[in-house]
Amino acid sequence: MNKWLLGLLVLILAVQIYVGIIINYPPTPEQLTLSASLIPVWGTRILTLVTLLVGLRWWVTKTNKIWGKNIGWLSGILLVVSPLFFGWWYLYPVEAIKVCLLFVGWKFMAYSFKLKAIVLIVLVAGLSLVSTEERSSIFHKLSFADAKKEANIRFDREDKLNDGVYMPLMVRRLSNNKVYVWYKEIVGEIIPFFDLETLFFQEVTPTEQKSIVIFYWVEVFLFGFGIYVLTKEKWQKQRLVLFLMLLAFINYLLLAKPIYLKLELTLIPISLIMGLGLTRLIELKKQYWAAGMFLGMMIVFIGYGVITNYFDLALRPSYWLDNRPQVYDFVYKNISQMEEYMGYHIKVTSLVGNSTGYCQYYLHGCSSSLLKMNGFDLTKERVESKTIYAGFAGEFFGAKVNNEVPPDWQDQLSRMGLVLIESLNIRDSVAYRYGNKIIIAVSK
Amino acid sequence: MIKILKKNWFWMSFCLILIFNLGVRIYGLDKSPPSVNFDEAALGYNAYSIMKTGRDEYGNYLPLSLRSFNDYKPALYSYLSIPFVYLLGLNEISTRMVSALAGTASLIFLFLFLKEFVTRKKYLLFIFLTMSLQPWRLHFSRTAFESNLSMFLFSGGAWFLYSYLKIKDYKKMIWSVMFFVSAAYSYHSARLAAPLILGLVSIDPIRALYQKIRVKSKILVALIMFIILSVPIFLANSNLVLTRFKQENIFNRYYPYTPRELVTEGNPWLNWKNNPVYYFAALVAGHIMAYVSPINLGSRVFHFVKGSPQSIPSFSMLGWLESMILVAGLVVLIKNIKKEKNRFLVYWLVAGIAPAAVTWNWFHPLRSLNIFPALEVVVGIGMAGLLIWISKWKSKWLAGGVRFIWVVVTILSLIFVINNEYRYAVWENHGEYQPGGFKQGAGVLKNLQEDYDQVIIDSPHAQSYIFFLFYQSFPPEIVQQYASIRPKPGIEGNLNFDFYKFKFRKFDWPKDKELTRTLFWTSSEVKVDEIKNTPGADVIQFENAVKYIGASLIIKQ
Repeated sequence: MNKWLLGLLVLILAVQIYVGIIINYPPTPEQLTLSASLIPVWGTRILTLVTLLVGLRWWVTKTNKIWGKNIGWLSGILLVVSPLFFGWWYLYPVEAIKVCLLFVGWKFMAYSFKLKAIVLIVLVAGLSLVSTEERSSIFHKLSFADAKKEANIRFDREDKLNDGVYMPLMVRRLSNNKVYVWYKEIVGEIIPFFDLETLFFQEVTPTEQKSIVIFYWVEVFLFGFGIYVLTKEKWQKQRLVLFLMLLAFINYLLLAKPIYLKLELTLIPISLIMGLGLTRLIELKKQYWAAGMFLGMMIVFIGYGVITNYFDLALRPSYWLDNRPQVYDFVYKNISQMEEYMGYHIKVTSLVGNSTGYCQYYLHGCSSSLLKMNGFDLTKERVESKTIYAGFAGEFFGAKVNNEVPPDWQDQLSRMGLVLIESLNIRDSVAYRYGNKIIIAVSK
Repeated sequence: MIKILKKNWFWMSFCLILIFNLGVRIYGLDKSPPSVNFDEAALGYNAYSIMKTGRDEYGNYLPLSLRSFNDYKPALYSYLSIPFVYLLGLNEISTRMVSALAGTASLIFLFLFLKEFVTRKKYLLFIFLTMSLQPWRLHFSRTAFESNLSMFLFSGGAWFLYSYLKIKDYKKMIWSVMFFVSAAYSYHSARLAAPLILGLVSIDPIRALYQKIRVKSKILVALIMFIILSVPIFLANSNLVLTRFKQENIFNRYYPYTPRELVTEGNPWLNWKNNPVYYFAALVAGHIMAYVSPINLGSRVFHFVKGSPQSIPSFSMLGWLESMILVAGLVVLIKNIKKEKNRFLVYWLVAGIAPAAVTWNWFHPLRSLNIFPALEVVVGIGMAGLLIWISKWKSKWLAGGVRFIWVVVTILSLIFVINNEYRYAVWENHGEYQPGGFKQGAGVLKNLQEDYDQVIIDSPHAQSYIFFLFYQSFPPEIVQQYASIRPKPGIEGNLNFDFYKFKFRKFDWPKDKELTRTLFWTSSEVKVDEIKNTPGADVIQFENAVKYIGASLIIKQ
């Protein structure tokens, strides 16, 4: 059985690498930061993938040891088939390193695990906090300032009612006080952790949010069955799964990144629970026809989910993946090819973050005094001569509340004395109010 | 006296909680929500019309479904409202009373179910108190929702069905059928949910997974009885009764199910890479699981819910803590799935979700209201499990401290829920669900309109006529005469019709100021000075509950 599972694992990885080649997505800022923009992006990706696989090996062997049979293998396969796993090695090396370290910690975990548990909690919490410059929203809620403000707003609004239901002032104070509102804010940050839509149903995007698929929809039923199997295990084993969930929760609370990354560590315990479920189904299939049928359906639907989702990913990467790298990829690739404008000043947008890494990566050097990466606003500044402008439409024509780009933007560009070199429409509004169009234009 | 109190403390506490809940549901019913919405006005007015003439607003004699806005509302709610309309007149209180009483009465069945799962009495009372004032319970009990009535009746049907499983008394079965049939006559969802729960309990498919199938034939008999007693609903208006389903079903809205960018030419069903079957199954599965997703229950508000009468400001349906404890309850439920009472809960959930799952909305509180008592029982199981676990902690001080904080937070939450519903929600709804100043102005209009030749109504709402009928207690005999000119069944959009002196059209003051002996009602902004400067013209403006001008009444002599 192990050889078959290993073969399946290799096949899935081959599919992922193939899809990655087809997509040929630009590097993310963290990939450039880690590689110091010195090595090709595929070098970073392969290194990240190897790191993950090494960690995965420890996960598989340790899990097999704790739980027996092939649970480690099955949970490993379920982990790897997830498009989020692809996202880890393809785009998010920092997250991949975090996961690998978690696997390392898991390897050394035993039933009595208090000290190791604390180490892992500190590790996950620490990496989550340092992986971005922004702070997670939970920190803004910890202070009473917002709560006090909201309590006052609520009180104020209620006072404005014309003929409201009478409530004694004491009761209103018990309801609208900063302590309770603070509790409300904190709980409001916690509840989204329990989000079945983001975890299991992103294939049909019910909330129209941007997110990579974490689990295929059919896996929710396997997860439910896995929960049943888990409840029959000994407390020591249940405790391990709960601990992994706790780590996932800490990561969710402290990480200031998109929701699918905030929920990323749930991939591990949930795939373990599903692995438990699958193993039990394999045992039961000879005894109960329903188990065999359910197992067959899971294999078919998960298998089909893999095919359809990776095909979808290959066809519309912009739909699933973060569009921000596309901005700087477009800008700097074009600038690097604009040899006839050598010696011109260059002004690059800064609306989607610091582009120094991209500059290093595409131009092999950013030290030129001609290059300015802090954006521009041509509604306020004068158009300078012999300057290349690369930015969002709103930086040329003004930010619009509805994110619009003027229909006659090309004419406007000409009237400003600029010559259009290239433009690109991106799918997502990554710089809201500034439009989804990136323009590179030059004033001669 | 003290001995009596000590002996009966449990039932007295239960009664106290029930009475408190009744009070909280009835108090200030005319002020919060501050005015009726379309459907409330329709239910109330049709109750009034049937009371007066035996016919609904279209002149249909003792209808089983109210044609209303061509949506064929089940009529039971209106019939039950008649005594209150008779005693209290046609107003918010009489219209909402049935919902308030049904919401309170449903707590009895909730308590009975909780008693089956929670054995410690103090825990039971605490859990019951917490569940009795969940945001959805208070909100839906204070608005005239047929689905709230249906929820009460469905809970009753479920309780008697469950009781039958325990003690095999045929009278329980009959009660169960009567409650389920009544639920079907009160809201569309129950017409699918009730037979489904009967079918599932009879076949017990979960048990069939690990044991031989054993069909409970007597419950199948109950199912047949249900179908027979429900036939009149479908015979009364045959395919028109299915109008709502045709309007809202999942099959049309999402076709071709595969994301559009992935649809290739040719037959989509033969597309092996992105087959619609896969995506359709995902949609259905997602629609089902949405009702046990804690974020949907505790905080997420979908755009089609926000701003509608089913929206509860600051909440989704359950309390925030309770929506997370649901996870613990589900785990305990799954763990003990082989127990019949746990399987019963699962069947209740599946049956209640089904009518909502086949409609296009991902999460629709109204259509799924029948499952919420079951969800509360699951939360109760989780709460009981956690309380028992805390009581086993080594440190009694810590356990006591945690329990104390939990009780304090719960009490504050209940106060928050009540105040939120009474006062803050009024502000959030901008003083009324369908802004237009109808409550404040329709009565004034009534006093004036007899002296004028026509009343021109300029309202952005597609069925604003109903507010004038409601707030003026307009003679139904007059309205019924216009049945033949009203928009035909199947027509959506503007359902206003000209009746009596009322004409529904856009208001254009530069032209209309030439008219005489005319009243103009408009929700749009008016230039008061310009109107007052016109000879023979005057204007009265009506503020709504949040002090903005809801409507203006222009008098032109």
